[in-house]
Amino acid sequence: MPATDLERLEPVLAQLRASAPAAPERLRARVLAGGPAPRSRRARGLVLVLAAAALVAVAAAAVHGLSGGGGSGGTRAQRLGLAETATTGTAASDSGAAAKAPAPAMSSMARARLQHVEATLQVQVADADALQRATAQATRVATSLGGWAQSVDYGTQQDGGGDATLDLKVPVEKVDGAVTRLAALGTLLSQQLDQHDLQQQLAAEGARIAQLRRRVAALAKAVADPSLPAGQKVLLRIQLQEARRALAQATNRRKGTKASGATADVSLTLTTNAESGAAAPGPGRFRRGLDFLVVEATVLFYVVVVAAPPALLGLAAWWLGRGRRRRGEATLLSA
Amino acid sequence: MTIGRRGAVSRDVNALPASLEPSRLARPAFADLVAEHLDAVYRYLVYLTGDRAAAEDLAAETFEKALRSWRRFDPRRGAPRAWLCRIAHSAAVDWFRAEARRRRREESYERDRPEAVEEVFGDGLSPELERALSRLTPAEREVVALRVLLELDGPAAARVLGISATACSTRLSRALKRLEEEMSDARD
Repeated sequence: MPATDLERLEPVLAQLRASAPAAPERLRARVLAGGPAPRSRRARGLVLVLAAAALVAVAAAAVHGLSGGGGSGGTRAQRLGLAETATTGTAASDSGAAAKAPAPAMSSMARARLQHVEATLQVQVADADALQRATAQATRVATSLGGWAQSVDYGTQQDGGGDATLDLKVPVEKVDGAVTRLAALGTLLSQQLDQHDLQQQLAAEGARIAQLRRRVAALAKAVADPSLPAGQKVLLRIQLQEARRALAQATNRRKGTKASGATADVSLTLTTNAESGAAAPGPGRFRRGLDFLVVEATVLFYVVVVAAPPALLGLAAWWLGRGRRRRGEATLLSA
Repeated sequence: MTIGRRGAVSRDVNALPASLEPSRLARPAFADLVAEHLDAVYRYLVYLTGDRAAAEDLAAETFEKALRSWRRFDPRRGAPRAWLCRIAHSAAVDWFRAEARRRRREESYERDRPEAVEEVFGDGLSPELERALSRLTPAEREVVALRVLLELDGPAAARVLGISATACSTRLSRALKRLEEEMSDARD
């Protein structure tokens, strides 16, 4: 509309402005009676939920980092805290702090119940000469405790380094002493003790043997009966032989189980290399927590990737709906 | 007030755009907001709906909604008056939808609709102007209310209407032209 036309309309517009309706007092009172502004609970709740989720994620990462996160923490702790001290652990993932004690728990438990014990140690020695002396000494330790060296794998390198791996068998009641003396051969880099309970297996084998003995006795008595027909007697004799064979096998198995519980397997690695794989320090608490956070972020990323297509579809639907609403609104107000 | 090219309305007294005035950047108290803008919102709704009773209810609803979202209002993103008008616009659109449904149900609204002879759009308006305003569409009256009565600048009015500033100017121009035509018809 040209400006001249608008100027012509100015009196009309002035009249509109001058006579514009004022809000009635009852409306003013009604609006002012609304009370103080309430807090936006939805927005605050959303912020609280997001903050709580972030807090839980960080706390989980911290707990994961502090708790060791999968067993490598014990190795590191022992390496750091027990370098020069011959100690034993009470379990496979025992920490260095707990291992400073004489660790009687495993021994007494092993004595109370039949258990198979496996100990793995890695000890660092100074050089090839020390490696040779330590290998010989480790064999002597095993034999002096009533055990033996099942295998010895000894090797040196041209640069003066070397490794020796010994599989030792020692009486289970003397495994603590063996570990103590073997760890004293050099600098203890890592140690791990595993115990497997054999008591239940032994009881099952005993029950099986008793059952077979009763069967053998019954079959022997039946075979001795003179009134039994010859054909049936032959069948019973076959069954008796099978039962005796099964009894012998079961008895041997029980002997093997008892032997397994009587001797402990000690795997000793002597090395001149402090940076060998088993001795490598585990990641720090902070690093483990950080790694866990990375895992959480990765999971979140995948969730976002999975949720993105439906979210985009929803966004498109919302956008189309908004356009439709606006068109409807324009139609409504133009009527 | 002067009206420049393309029907754009601007205030002579303000060199700065209304949204950049320093006083507008501070958040006023809600009671002050009511005191300052209730009349404007009510007038806007009267023009938009053409019904004072409905405008009263909608103004109350607008301020109730504004009260609920008052903590989220950011003065830097727009003047309180434009913000209130956006809320009022949304409430009025809902009212229009409800009215349309009601009319369809009753099917007698248009037949029974009386000529707007009573004072709706102003106190003391000439009957010709009152009748001419009543014959404008709600969209036309709305843009007149925003630009003339409430003196919102072009961009602010456009944001309230959800259209571009150019479309807003065009709509204002057409509305004023139609108002003039309706007044001429009434005189004839």
